[in-house]
Amino acid sequence: MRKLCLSMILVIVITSLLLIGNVQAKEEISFTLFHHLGVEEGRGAIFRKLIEEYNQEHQGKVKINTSYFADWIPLQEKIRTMVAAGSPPDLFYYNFNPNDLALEKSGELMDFTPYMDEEWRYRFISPSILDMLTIDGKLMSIPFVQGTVVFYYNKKLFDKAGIEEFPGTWDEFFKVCDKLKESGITPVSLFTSDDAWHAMNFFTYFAASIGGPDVFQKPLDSPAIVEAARMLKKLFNYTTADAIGGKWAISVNNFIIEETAILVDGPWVIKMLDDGMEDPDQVIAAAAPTFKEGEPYCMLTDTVTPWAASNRLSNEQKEAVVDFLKWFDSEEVAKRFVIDGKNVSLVKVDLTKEEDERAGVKLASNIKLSSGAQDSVIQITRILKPAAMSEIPKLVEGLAIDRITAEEFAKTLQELNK
Amino acid sequence: MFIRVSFKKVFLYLLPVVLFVTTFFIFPMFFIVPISFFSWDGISRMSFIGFGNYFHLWNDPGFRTAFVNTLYWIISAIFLHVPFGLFIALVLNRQPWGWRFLRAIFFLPNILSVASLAILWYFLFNPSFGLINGFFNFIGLDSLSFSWLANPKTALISTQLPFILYIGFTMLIFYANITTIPLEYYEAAKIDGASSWQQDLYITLPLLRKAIVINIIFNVTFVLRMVEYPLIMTGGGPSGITMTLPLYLYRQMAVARAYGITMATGFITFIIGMGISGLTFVSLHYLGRRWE
Repeated sequence: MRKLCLSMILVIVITSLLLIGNVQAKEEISFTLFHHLGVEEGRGAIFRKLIEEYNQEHQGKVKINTSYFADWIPLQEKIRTMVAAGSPPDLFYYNFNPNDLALEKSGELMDFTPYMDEEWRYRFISPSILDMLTIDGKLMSIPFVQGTVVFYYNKKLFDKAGIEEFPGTWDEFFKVCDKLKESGITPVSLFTSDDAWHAMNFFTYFAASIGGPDVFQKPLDSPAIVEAARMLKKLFNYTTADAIGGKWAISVNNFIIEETAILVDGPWVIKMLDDGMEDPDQVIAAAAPTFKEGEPYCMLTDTVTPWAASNRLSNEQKEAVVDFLKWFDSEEVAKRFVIDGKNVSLVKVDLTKEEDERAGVKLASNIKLSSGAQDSVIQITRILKPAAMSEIPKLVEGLAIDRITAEEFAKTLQELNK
Repeated sequence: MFIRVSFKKVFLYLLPVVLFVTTFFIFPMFFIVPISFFSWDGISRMSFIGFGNYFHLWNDPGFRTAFVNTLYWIISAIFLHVPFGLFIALVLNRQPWGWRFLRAIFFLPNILSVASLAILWYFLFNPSFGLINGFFNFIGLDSLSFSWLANPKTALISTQLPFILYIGFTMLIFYANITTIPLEYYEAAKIDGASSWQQDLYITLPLLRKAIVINIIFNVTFVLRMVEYPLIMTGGGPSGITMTLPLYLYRQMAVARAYGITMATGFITFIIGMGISGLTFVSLHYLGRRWE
């Protein structure tokens, strides 16, 4: 009995000491930033460096801790789960989907309205984006990045196949694919798992070419979508054997090792291409083909990827978050993120000629192609309802292996997206 | 002979574990069934839809495929994985040359996480640079060199192959039980002229009843919660062909954000697990009485 009492007293004392230690007021304000920017991506290295510099500059006052996730999908899943559990990450970024505002309406995200001032508002390329991110009168997130998706092609492989320039029309595109295939070169990099990003980039471009940039605002079983599905199915004749069930990293790697000649992706691959390829200067960015020669092209974009913060932060932490975001959006820091990260930011940056050269030809092409587009369309998987999104791999694979027709693809997509 | 232990001491020793299991396993299970009657995206307000989620599962061809595939996985666990583990344990019990080394080799994969093994096999099956196709090309069997994971006819068995082969833990349980069987039984059987395999059939197997039950239950419960092999190797494809109930449940929660459907799937999976476990106990109890 005596031993039991002594043991219980010891447990109570230790527990109390631990609790007191945690409750003591901390002088330094800290919060945790969730991200997926690995060092292999251009953005990753500069992003981490900028965080380090911010921490050094604010040592003793503010500290940003980071929580890294190796891939985009697991990061997003973690964020959703944490928000659902009522414990959102302190600061994070996510894909804004106007058809799925559950996150924004959850009550768990910080309202940035009181902190947004005119100076900060006009740091963004298009201040109207803030209107899009304002839900029920509250500014729920702050613009971060929005990648443009272009056609990267390997000029060396094109030359090997006797192709002089990137095709301007879709007919020419498939003829180019035939020519590449005849020369023993696999034309395109695709994959079907997760969000089937590369395959759906093509699908979005096909659909926008046929039905216009507002094609996804109409029912998804329209003739334009059906025709786009047929073209996507045809495209699977021109890709690698590991495309079905393949992953993003494998698909990009196929382009890096010159297994394939065309990759349709965003500026975040530029550093991977520069670091991984034997001759990265052979990679050129091109605009998407259209159906008619000389027809203005549409630019495919990722959705707006904004910052969001937890509503459960203390007032001091919220102010620290706002201070960090304003610092991140400043001209000097934004320039470094764009140039060294080979990134297309939603913050205005005025690059000098020298800075343009430092950013590199591929990024400069990205920006030039983006500004030369007549219109833009957001990649379809970023605006689908979650139920439809979850079926994308199955639908794309079904199309590729002849288990479903293009009509069934479109019909199922429409039914799931209701 | 029983040693008297005070009930209070037993209660205090068991209390932390009981509290942990009740809080993190039993208590949450009481939420699964109620939530399965609601439509919920995990964040917004729940709305009651009665048996709507169950009707959705009934009508969803994806769920039916996942259900059937899970039964295939359970069959491969009971009739391939466990017998293979038993066979290896019996062979190792004979202590052939290098048996200690073989025992370590068979157990080695169990040290690694299932996710890393799945990634390994994903690359082994890669149609362009994978070792499996490379081997077939090397020995001249080019017809067997194709995309195993993307072919509807071979995808499912390909995802099951690593599970069937990695029998380390199963083998260890059998081996540990075999070593506790008194040698006098085998000596007596030898004197009566029984061969090695007859000894295994009439002495070893009956005395391994409990180990067989344990292994079947361990492996069936593993199959009912394992997502790594189909998730990493095929993503449930091609076209949903390798989808299993745990993976279906995961995708409904993490991608489709349909928590009501997720709970309904979880409840059905739980019923399957309880059913198989019960059936296993009853079958082997009945077989055991027959052996006696």
